[in-house]
Amino acid sequence: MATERTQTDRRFLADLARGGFAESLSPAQRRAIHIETPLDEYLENALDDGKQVVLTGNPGDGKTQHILMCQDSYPEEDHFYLPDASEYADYEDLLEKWEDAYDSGTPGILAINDGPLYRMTTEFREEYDFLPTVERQLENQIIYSEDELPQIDFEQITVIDLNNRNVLTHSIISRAVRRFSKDFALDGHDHAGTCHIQYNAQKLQQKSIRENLIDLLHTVGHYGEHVTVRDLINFLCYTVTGGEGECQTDYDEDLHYYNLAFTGNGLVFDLLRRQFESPDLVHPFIDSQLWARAEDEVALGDADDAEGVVYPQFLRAKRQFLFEDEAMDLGYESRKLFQSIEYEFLNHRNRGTDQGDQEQFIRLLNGYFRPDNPRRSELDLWLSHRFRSKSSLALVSRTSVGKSDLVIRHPKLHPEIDDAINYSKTHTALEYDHEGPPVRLRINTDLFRTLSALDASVPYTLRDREEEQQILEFMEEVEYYETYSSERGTISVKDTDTGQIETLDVNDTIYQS
Amino acid sequence: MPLKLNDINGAASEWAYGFKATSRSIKPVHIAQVIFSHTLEESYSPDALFKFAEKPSKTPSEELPDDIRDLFEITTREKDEDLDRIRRTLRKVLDNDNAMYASQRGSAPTCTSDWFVLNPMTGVTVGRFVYHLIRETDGELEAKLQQQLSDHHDSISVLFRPLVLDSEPTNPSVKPWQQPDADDPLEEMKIASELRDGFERLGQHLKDKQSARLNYPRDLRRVVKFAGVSFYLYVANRYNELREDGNERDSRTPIVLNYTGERSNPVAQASLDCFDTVEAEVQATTRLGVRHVLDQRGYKDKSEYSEDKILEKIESQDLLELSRTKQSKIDDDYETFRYIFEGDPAEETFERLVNTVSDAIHQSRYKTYTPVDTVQTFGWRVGLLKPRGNRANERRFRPDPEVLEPIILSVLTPTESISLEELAERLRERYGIIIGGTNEDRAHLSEWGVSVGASTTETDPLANRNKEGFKNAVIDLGYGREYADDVTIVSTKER
Repeated sequence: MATERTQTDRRFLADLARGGFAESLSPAQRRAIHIETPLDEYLENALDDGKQVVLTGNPGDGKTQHILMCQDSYPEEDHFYLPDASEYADYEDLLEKWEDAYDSGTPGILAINDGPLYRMTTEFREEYDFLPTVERQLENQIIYSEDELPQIDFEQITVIDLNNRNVLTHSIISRAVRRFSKDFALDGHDHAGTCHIQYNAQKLQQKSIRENLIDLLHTVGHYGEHVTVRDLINFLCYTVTGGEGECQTDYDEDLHYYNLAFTGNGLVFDLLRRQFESPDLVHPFIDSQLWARAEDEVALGDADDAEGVVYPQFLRAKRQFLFEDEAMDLGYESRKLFQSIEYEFLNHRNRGTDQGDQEQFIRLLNGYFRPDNPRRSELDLWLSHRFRSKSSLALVSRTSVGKSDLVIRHPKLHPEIDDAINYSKTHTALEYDHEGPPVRLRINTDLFRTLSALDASVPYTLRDREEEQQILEFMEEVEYYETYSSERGTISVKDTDTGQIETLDVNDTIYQS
Repeated sequence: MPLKLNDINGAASEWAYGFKATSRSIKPVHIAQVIFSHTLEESYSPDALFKFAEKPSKTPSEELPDDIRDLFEITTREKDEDLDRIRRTLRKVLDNDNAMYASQRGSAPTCTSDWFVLNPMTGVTVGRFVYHLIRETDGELEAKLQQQLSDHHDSISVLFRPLVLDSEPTNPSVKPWQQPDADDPLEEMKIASELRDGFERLGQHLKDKQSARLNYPRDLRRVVKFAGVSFYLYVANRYNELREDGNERDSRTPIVLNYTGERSNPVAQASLDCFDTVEAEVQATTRLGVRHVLDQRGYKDKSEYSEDKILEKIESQDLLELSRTKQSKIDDDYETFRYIFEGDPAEETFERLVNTVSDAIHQSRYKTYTPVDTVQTFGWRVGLLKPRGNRANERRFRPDPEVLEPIILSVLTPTESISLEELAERLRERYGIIIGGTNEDRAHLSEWGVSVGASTTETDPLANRNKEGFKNAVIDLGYGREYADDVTIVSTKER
């Protein structure tokens, strides 16, 4: 059995930095590290209203944490709490207890990872009345249109999938940075800022550095990876301590927060490294300035090994610049570097459902197959049909759908849980508007980038076949629902080798051109 | 009676499989043509279409018959040049499967409807076998195929409409598949019965008519891709089904799909070993067939085919019927045959002859195209093996997404949701396809002498990286969703 720990000081911070903390935290420690989010208020309201809330998601999403935070004000005698579903070897034992609480109208919170919850709903939906509702809610956390909301009962039970929660928002990061760079870091030792923990903590409290950190983390949130609260805490604690609970007063630059932020293990570190290696972060003016400084600092002796000696110093300088641009005074704001990443896609994704957006996307899709086709009002539907495993020699297009039949959909949380968590869209969708099951083309960063790059006339043979396949399958699906004449039409055939397109008018028994 | 190696090769294949898997030219489109013509029980012979689709370098547009030229209301003065250009481009639509030849006979155009379905010449018996599997299902798949093929709303049918509209359908040589003499492949537990069930489940996923029309050629591709996989798996598993009782293995011939994205690691090696295993199994099947054929043709008769008499016939060059004209080549062929015969370790003369004929069939010098060559070539053509192309070597199993999709649909009903592990288990148990993630993977592979060791960086690359790669492929197809605790649920339901 794990020993319950009580301290909430820099050593605790170092433990958190090493990650293995979740199961052995004391209630006091859990309270101390709690970062308030909209979910706190949502849960209190739900319990006040007598509802049961099922929190699902991945380990580290903070499900159990929320139960512990509620237990003081909403005592266990009157409430049904399930802090750890994995304790039940047999789902039916759990479901029996849950059913009793549900039938008696006992409010509560249940923390169940999404895998087990999915299994419960699929295997036992016939036996427990509330499970079909849970299943429907689970399937409809994200919706594409409020006009066509599925009928789901939210009266007595609400499911919130924390997989959809974006914790890399300005307000959550801001609260977390303050929390972990203040009390924990500074309590219980006084090295007047000379130890590595105090140095890093004090730096992160400086407004300009803190804001850069927040912006940087917010930006990597756009990569669409699911970052948990635990990932964020792990990152911040490591960035302050380097995993060293004992104060280091004689230490080198590797223990500075701006190096630690890129050298730890965990998802946030991976995202930061991914961004640091992004070509978007290369800037000729800034990099040359930083390189020159690095050369000065290493007192270059042997010119042959210049890169090997200067590069590590340049790397440190560039990392530092991302946070301390103001102090380094190069006449350029660091956030201008990283905020340009994926700008066009973000701009598209974040816009509302407007006609310009839809027309722009239709134009991009038309241009993919026919670079000289700037049409925005109709989408040409292309067909690639062959049985062998090789790309098509020729694509055929006869039909098109008008823009009135196509809608750009922006995924959003179901309105019933909209207040509970922050959600960041990772994609939008081009939807074919018709009666019947939805037909959507998912537009994510990769697809958007591919289509946008075509303005630079990327040759057909160099294009990504799997992305093309997605587009073609969407088009084939739309054609299935569209009604066109089988006797006449204007048909284009594209020779994929030469890019040449022939267009013919078929009029029943003759061709016209 | 002199031995004609090609005849024996074909007869051996028919005995074991119920078809001649001895053609270098079988392509997925040939199987498509046979399935479709048998489903429709009619075919077209659109002469005008083929005349039009001939390469302009062979038949310039100015030499086209007037009735074809008159179909084009081209008003420019360069009508012939325009027509040449149009024909070159439109031909590619029909030649998307690279099976349009100089004449209509033997050609197999890429088809979306009955208008392009011919009386096929290639892959006929193989196609009949696959059609037989479809025929043995509950009929849903065949009915949907029929509806799809009778519909002419797709853009390719409309494109060629003026050229095919006047063609009259004829009855093609629709014949039932003849099951092999060796056994009934559709008996319970044999792979053909699993493949039949797979077609039945696949049929449940195909689209229905949409207000009196069915314009969805993708379903034709799904059926043909799964037909290609079925052909491959059937041939790969026959030896184990035919070998002597007591020696058979309990599991299917293993097919490790390499989703590691690399060619040099234990999983990639295991996939390569499986490729070699298929080769060995198919070769062994041919030997069984050769044994049967030679027995049937009287080569067990010791008075005529004792060791001495065989050597005498080799000496006098009376044993083989060779399609050679140069005497030096004939001498070489006999010399090689004698060399194999004398070196074979079998004690019985008849067994030595069987081994010699079987080995000779697998030697390129006798110009026989074996089931091994047929099925491995077909494997990359249909998108099951990579790399593709005639000159590639070291092929491994890595299906195209378009091939993986019908494989998954063939083991999953439209209403089912199963875990990734359950999917892996179904694929392993039913088809021998191994991707990692089941408890039986290693035992299955070990039964076939294939091992997947640890790499320098990973302890179990099959159950980890390979399964992960496969999982991502399933998710990319839209059929998988990841949950916490490493749970991935596979389902075709809309989410």
